Amino acid sequence: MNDETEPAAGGASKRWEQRLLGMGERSDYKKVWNRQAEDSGMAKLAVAGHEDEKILDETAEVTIRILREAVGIFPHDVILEIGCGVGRVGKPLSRQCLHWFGADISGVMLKHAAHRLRGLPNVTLVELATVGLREFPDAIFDVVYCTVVFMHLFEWDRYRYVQEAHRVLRPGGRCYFDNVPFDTDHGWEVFTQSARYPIENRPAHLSMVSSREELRTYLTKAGFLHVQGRDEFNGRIAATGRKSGELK
Amino acid sequence: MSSPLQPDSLHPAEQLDEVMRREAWLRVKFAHDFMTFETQVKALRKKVDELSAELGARNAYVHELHLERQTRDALVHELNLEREKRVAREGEMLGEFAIYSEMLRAAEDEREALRAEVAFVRAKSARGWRPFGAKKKSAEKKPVAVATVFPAYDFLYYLYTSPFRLHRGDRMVLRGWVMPRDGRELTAVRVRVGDAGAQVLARVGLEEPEVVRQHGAQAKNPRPGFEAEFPIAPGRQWLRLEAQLEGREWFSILHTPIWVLRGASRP
Repeated sequence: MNDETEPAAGGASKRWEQRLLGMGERSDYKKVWNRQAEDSGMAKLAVAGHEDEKILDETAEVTIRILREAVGIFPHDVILEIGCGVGRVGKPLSRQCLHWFGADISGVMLKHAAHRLRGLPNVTLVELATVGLREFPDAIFDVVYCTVVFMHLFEWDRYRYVQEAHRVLRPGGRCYFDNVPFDTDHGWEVFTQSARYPIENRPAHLSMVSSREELRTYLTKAGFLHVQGRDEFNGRIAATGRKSGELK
Repeated sequence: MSSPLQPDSLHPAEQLDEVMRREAWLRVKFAHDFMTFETQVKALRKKVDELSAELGARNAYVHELHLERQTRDALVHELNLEREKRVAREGEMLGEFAIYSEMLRAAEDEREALRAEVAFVRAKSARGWRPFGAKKKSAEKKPVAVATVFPAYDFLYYLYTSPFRLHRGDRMVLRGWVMPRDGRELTAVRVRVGDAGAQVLARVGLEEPEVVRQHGAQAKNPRPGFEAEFPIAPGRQWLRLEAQLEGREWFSILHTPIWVLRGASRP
């Protein structure tokens, strides 16, 4: 490497420091997502890309259809959504199960969710203190799902949620995790759009894609059985699994 | 006819469904109870932390009060010691006042006696003085031992320990230096105390480099320092400091009355 391309030692150090700070910002999920939920319009845009309630409901129905196909939704199911945001999926899904729990790390997002889901008797919203599901006891849920969330997390945190899902699922419980894939046109577009940001101005919530192998590996390593990968019709990839125990 | 609501009247599939529904509700209830319990535990932990912090702050305050009290107690103790010293000093001063009063009275008596003697001698030396009556045989008086007073000499001298203070104790130390101005050899120094003339030889030949630097060296007296330690009795008495030159005559350096009190010497 010649001297002209070698960055100045002082400049590289400064950029690295700034980068570290940026990564730390991304890891502060609570702060990042509280900031994006200052009002309900911003919150809906941040989590769903739309402010219109009708569009939110329509996209929620699509997600529920996918969940029904992937893991099954039954009237007696006790369901947990990781990263429920404003309760986009929970609002219609709560009518189709026994009880729906929505967990999110952003307390401000949950305030908007509480407003949207007011009056629903079988809904519980829980603010997570940090990455993980320690607010919940073991072996409670029939279904744990996490949709349109992994793109905002670092890999270690994705795996942490998969591990925790295994803990809080009852024997035989089912899980579903999705993300934007690396190798589709849409996924590549998401990747390259994020890459355009200068490093020092990289937003903390930028989407990070996954591979099919990555998702399957998380579930396998966490102890799930019957791990399967899925290519959803909405352009996402997913992985499903079942906790060992009796089959439902 | 059994009620359709009673479980045993349900179809097995419906019974199973009912059981599963109840089981699911129990899990939901357990989850809610767990979360409530965790919230209460968190609140209690926070309360415990707050109380611990408060206890810590109070303990720190109590400790400060203890330290303040210790400091105050030490100060009171020092003040008490100081007061005791002052009381003792007052007592000493009263005692010294009594002694000084006695000294003054004795000096006044001595002055009156000397005046009477002077008047008698003047009267005796006047012409035609005749004593009244026959000569009486004067009563035999006990001879008073009077110490010999040696003649003075031109000495340069200095005393580090002053004989002019009021002394306490039964021993005294005189420390100083002496040399004759004419440079004759000084061979001995002694102290004589009291009318009986008890004498103590001083240690001579002590180094006094500053004195030599200031006054110039004397060939026969290169080390002019001396020190004498001697016993003293309470009361008023004469002190004589004398030096011998060339091993022959003794000369007086200083003679002065000193006052000695009973009790331990003060540093």
